[in-house]
Amino acid sequence: MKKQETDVVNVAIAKADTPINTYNMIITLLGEMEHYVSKNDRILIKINLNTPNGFPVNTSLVLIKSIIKSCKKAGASEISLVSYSNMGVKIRNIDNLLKINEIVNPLGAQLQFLEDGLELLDLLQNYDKFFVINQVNVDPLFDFTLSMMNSTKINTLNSQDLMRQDLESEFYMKEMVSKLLSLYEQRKPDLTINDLYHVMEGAGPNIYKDSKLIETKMMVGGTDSIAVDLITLELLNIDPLGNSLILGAREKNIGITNINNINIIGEDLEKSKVNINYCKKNLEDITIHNCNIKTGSTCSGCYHVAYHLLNIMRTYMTKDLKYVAAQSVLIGKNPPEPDFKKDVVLFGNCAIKSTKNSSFRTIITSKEVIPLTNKIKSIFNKKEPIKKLKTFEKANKQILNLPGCPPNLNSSINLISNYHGKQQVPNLYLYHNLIETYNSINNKKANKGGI
Amino acid sequence: MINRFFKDNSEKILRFNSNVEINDKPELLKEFVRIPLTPIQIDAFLLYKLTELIYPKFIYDQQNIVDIIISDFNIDNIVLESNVYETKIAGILKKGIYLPKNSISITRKDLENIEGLFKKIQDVIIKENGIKVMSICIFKKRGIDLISTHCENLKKLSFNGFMSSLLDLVQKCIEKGLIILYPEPEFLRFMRELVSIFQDVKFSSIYNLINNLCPSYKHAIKFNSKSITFTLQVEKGDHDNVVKFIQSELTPNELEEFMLPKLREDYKLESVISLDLDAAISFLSEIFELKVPIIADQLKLLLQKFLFGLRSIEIYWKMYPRPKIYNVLIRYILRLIGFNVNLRKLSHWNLPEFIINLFNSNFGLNSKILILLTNNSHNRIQNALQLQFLNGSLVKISAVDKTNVFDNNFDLKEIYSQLVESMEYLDFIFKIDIDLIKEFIEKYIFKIYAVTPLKQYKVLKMAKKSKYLEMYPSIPAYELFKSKSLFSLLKLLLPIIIDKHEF
Repeated sequence: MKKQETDVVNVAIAKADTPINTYNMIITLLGEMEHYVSKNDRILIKINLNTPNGFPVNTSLVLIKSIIKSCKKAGASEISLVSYSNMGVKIRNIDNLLKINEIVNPLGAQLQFLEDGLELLDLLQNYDKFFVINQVNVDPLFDFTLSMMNSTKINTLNSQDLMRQDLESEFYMKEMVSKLLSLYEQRKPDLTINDLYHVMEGAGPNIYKDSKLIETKMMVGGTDSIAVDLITLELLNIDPLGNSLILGAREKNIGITNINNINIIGEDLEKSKVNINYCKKNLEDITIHNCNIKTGSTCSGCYHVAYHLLNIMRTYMTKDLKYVAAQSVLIGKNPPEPDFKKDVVLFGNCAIKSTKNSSFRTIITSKEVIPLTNKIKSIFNKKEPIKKLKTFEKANKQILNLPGCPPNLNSSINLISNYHGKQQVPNLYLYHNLIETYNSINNKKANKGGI
Repeated sequence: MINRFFKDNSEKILRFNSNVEINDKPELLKEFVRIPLTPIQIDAFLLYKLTELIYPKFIYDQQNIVDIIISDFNIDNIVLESNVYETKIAGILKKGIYLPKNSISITRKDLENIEGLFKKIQDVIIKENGIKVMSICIFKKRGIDLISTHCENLKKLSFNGFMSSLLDLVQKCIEKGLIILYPEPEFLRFMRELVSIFQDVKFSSIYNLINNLCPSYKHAIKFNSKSITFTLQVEKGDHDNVVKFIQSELTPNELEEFMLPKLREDYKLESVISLDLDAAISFLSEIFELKVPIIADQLKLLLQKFLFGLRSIEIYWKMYPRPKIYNVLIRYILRLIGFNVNLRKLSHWNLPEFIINLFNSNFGLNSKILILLTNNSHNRIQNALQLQFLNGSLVKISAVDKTNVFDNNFDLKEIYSQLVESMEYLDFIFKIDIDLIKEFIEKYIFKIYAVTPLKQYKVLKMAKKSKYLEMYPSIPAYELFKSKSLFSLLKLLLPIIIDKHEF
């Protein structure tokens, strides 16, 4: 599994007018599908199925269908598609909406659900070949959604078990990198294709207000996922050695992390480089109307979920934040004092605990009062009583805690919606209902005697 | 060269325009002409004032224009005829000066550099006639032939026939570049870009489709601007439509409160709408300034303005009978049962952005959607349109040959599985029955002045039945629509559509 420094791998860069032509070209450059698929092979293809939303949140169906057809043509006996979702939505529910199985079944493939304890590694034992087909979009943690990210479960957005007391700031990132690379160490994909034909820029990997699609008309493919990701980053003008995944791979000495050991075929790398609008890395830079964002020392887990929550707020809460008028969101350990004491959202355990003694927790009001002695004196002196300024302190009750490290995204939306009330945040309430709909769709159908 | 019917009318307009200047009270001339290219009769002075108002906004605001007709063949000098019109007011043409045959010489190659050609023609006309033309209008002979054929048919065509012919003429002339205007007005640029989106879909078929979906109606629209006021009667009968200018016996100075009911009574109309023409022109000119495909941010601004206009009843528009939904008592009763329906507080600033963002996340940033218009009563698919979106902008509309795959087949799953193979990719299919659209248009647009909650509720209930509205594959928003009861759906959506406070 471990590559020697002297090993050289091929990575193909293809560019054409349509996604199908680009795919065909990349397969031709890599030596046709017969090179990767033997007769009666059982193929497992890992795709992106993140949420039941439109392209490019998930892998393009055009590409999925093309690869199924090529595998079938090369003699594959069984083809299965698998994916983990990243927002806590069950793949079964996504399939119920997007009807992936109904589309791929006639082509001789099926979508398997990596749920109920079934892990990719367990499943892989039953298959001869493992392919990764990955849609590339901007990502706050790893710059772009790379094929390595696709190959294992990134379910922390929905995890409730990571309530650690003393969380090491980069635990989440390290844990994630380690998880991502461990699969590669145990079962290396036989073919990896990064689909950059359309890349989401601005905000991603889910579709938000600032998300835009740009057409690069390219795909990158090869047998070494790390090399494919490295070239993808190079194409997108990102220094691969600044990427945690590539660095992690280099540290563990797995895969090809040296560009000199990569033989690029097809398009010229330097001439094909494209400029992409990356997503805003600094959470305070995400502008949300009437919302003041302050961050302290943020662990990568909280950062990741906060990024999505803030973008959801920016995308859907236009009206709500006009009603709410002034809201502060404090993220991470020891965040600065909020600008407004009203409606303070404390995001994550770090923010909740480290602000226990912060001044925004108490509201100090002062009032002019006439002490009893002054009142009596004024009766005798027949003068105006002397007033004194008295200060009152009370606990600030307009604070919303979003617990967890990282907090659960869907629960956070629910908590914010309940805190303000549905009349105050109608847009977010509808969004919450949408999430609830696709989270519960399977259960409802099951109750009705369906799936 | 040009049709007599068209030419006579144009000469009549030019004569009238010349008379306006020498007449103290041109409004009393009471001469009638046809609006060019249409069979609609109009008071010549009203046309004069309308041109004065509209032409500088949509075409040119500068004076003096030269019209040139060129040959379709590649000859040494392709100029067939040219006329210079000296105009004091932009768009108000008077008798033109005929330019001798060889005074302007144009070759086909000159058309590749239209800016250079314009300068060349400008210099020639200054030298020969002492007039500095600020714009040129080049008609290709084929375009003139099409205009002539259209005008010849005007006498025998019904109103709908005329509209179809006019829309086809416009689409063809723009598509084939049969009319060249330099400097190119924003309006023409907008139309050219719009035509390129419509691919093989004819404007006339869109008009006929919309017309068929509308119920029978008889309304009048009173347009008010600072300089002119006029009323247009629009009617859809059993067989044909009628559009004509009507006049009230009341003077324009009389209060609209009296005028609108009187108009309604005199012409036996269902309703009369009074519209601020200046605001409408300003809105239209903003639309024409947009680049097509319209990007999401611009579409958002445009929708915001439209919704703001819609909520500004009694500012930008009035209606008689006044829509009952604005009645305080009715609103109060609706509020008591939990529905806040105050159209004056329509959330014009929030809705477009919310809808666009929701659309993008549900349908994706790059999607191809097939819309099937079904006719349940005849058990057939009436129309099939394919819409293609990129970055939330509509970039292509094309017609799909319905006989191939889904003739009389209403099973979306089956249609999808067949089409997805032949069309490279297809994201969603919508099936909408025309009865549902007809009911919606009638109850929510044409009969907005009446409150018929049960009938309106019935329309929404229809939409929940897959016989009338269905999509495949599904999206979260559609599942939410299907899963919620109408009552809770309204409770969920109304706070988004209607504002709690005035901003």
